[in-house]
Parts: sequence; structure tokens; C-alpha cells
Amino acid sequence: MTAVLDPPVDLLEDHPADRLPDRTQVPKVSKIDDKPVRTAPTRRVPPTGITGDQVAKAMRKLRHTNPATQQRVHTLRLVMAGFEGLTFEEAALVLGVQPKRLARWLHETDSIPRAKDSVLADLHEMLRLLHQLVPLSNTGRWLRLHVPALNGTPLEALIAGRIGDVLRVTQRYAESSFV
Amino acid sequence: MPLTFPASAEVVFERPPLLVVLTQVRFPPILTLLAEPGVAGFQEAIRDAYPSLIKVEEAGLLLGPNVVQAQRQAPVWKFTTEDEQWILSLSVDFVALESLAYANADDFLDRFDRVLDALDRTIHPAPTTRVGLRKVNDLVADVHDARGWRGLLNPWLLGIIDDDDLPGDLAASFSIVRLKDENGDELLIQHGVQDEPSKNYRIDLDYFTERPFEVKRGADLRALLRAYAESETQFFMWSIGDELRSRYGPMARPINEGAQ
Repeated sequence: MTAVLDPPVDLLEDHPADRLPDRTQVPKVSKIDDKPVRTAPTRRVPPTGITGDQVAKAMRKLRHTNPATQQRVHTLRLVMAGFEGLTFEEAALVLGVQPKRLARWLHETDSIPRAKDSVLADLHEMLRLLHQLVPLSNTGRWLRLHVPALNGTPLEALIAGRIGDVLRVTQRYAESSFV
Repeated sequence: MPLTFPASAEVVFERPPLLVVLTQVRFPPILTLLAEPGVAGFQEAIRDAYPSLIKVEEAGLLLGPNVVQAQRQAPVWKFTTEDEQWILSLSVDFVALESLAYANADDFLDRFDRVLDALDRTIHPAPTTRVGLRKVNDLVADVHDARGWRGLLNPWLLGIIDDDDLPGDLAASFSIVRLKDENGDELLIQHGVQDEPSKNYRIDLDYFTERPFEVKRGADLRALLRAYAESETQFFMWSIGDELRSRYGPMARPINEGAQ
């Protein structure tokens, strides 16, 4: 049990927690007008291949998305961002969904069921706590480490649907870091 | 098999004349990337390395017989490193990584691998419609007209510049060459002198394919881009003469290091 509370030191060495970005703050997006534009020697990135009509139509559709649905997709995207080191297919297993359906959720061509709210919220909180101590780039390594309290790896526990157990482990990490 | 040129790439340069190196992966449009929420996951995944984000919007003009109408274009989301030497662009149908501080192919591909991994997890595009690697070299020499490049560059490359019988002052000479390899992938070579007083010679190499590849970290895209980098390095080596070669600080390629 004691090993559970101590995240492996080598996972922390690269990026001390005090240098990690604050992931609770969504960085501001500034318009191009706010900053000086670096002049380019040539046009290096060509324009996109979709028409103005397609842009306008898609923007109208995005504006009319239900707020609860938007929040669900937003949380899913943050969870997927936090799973560095997992493949898309592994992340789908954790979420209990087929990869193709997960892609449709991300593309907003299929709605995420309300029943996934608690899973998404727990995963988001678990990753938030974990990343207070372990850098994002080491998430995959941590998920594959044997954790005695879980009788296996966090990834195995997540795939088995024991998200609450893994969340409790990261909560204990967070509590121990303040001792 | 990518194109091979009659020059060895066993040498790398300490001070290569690279202006910019850019790789771009195009995929079928994902319209959620039009708005900020669609980009949020990707931003979260890469913002430790690319903390700054700018939204670049360009308006297009629709020209009809009786009307000129401004049309909204898809935005390009530009993420940059703190030192602004690495620029990552994302839009509805492409991701591109651009380096103003390119060191070698391994470093570049490692960074791009992480971008592809973040893209795969948070956006998951369908297989690619185009993949390209572009290296823009800007050679500088103290010459007073375009003919001054004779002796510095491979005569084949110089073409008309190398012809003594051409009358008048040669103000500019710019050529476009397209070579196809056995896969149908193409190397677009744009080179020449565009402006007087001709002190800059541009060698712009863009190797690309329209074959589909899975957009994810892994061997396939990395091997493709490494092969393109190798071909472009070989072409560059073949293009320049000994004097320029020594000016750029040639050194033996370190073991296990890929193309420059």
C-alpha cells in the first residue's frame, strides 16, 4: 500500500510540478491583429480547401449546438488530451466505446450519451490530479505501472471500468503532496 | 523508393543556409475545427511545448458577374513555442509544423511525432490526402549579377545562367522542375535568382505524396518524411560546389542521425 502514495520519482524529474502549466486555465486566443505578424519569405502554408459557403454553414450549425452537449464534448476533448501515451484505441477502451464512435463524438457527428457524464467527469478529475504531480508526457508510463492498491496497472483498472478506484489513488497522491 | 541524387548525404552542415523547414499533412475537412471549442483538446495536448495561440482569419472575395462578395475563410490556428522558432498550424483540413531553427531530421520528426499523436487522440482525422516536406534554402554570395553564381553551383542547375552567349544583363532567372518517383510522389524544385543584385539564390524543395497514410505517431509517416528529407539533402549537396560546401561548415554525420 505504501508505494501507492509515492509516484515514481523518475516520472517527476523532467518537469517539476511548479513548472507545469495551469491546466484549469484555458489560454486566451488572440486575434491576429493583437500581435505583430512575422513576415514570411514565401507563402508557406496554403489556404484551406473548403469554400466560404461551407464555412458559413458549418459555423451556423456549431452555434446551435445544445450547451450540455457542448460541455460533454469539451470534457471528452480534455480527457483525450490528457491521455498522452495511450493510443486512440486504448482511450476508446477506457471510455467503453468503439473507436469509430469515439471519432464521431469528437467530430460532433454523433452525440455523447448523458450516461457518460460521470465517467467523463471522473476521468477529467483523475487526470487533473495526476498532472499536478506527473508531467503530461509521462501519463502513458504511469498508466502502465503496477500500482499495488489497484492490483494491476491503472490502465487495466480503467478498462475494467474501475475509474473510481483510480481516481481515489490520484486523490491520495494529491493529498500526500501537501503533507 | 524516393529519388536519389548522385551526391552523398554523409555530411551535415554546421551552418546550413536553411530559411525554413515545413511539413504539412492534409486530411479530409473536420468542420468542428472552425471554432475554438473544436481546437481546445488539441491545444491542451500540446500547449506545454507551444504555449502561444493566434487565430489567423483571412477573408476571401467571391467574384460574380454582378456582385463582389466577401466570404469568410476557415481560420488557421497558429501555435508557437516560447522562442517563436517553431510554428504549428492547424486548420479544418491540415496540420503543419514549421521550423526556423531546424537542427536535424531526427529532432524535427520527434517533434512532429508528438503533434501527430495529439492530433490522432484529440481530433482523429481520416487518412491523409497529401503529405509534404519542404525545405527552403537561401544561399547568399557576394556576386554582382546572376552569372556570378557560376562556379558556385552545379552547372546543370544554373541552366541559362551558364550560357556565355546570352546577351544583356541577367536580372533574374527562376526555374521550376517537377520530378516523379516510382510511387508517383513528386519533388517540386523551385530555384533561381529573383531579385537584383542577385546575392540570394533560392533552392526551394517540396517533396510530397497524395497517397493516403494514417494520421498517427508511428513508423509509416516518419519513414516517409525521413526519406523525403534524405532526398532533399542529397539534391542540395548535388546542387552546390566545393566553395559553398566548405562555407556551410561540413562535418561527418553523427552515427544514428538521419538526414539533415
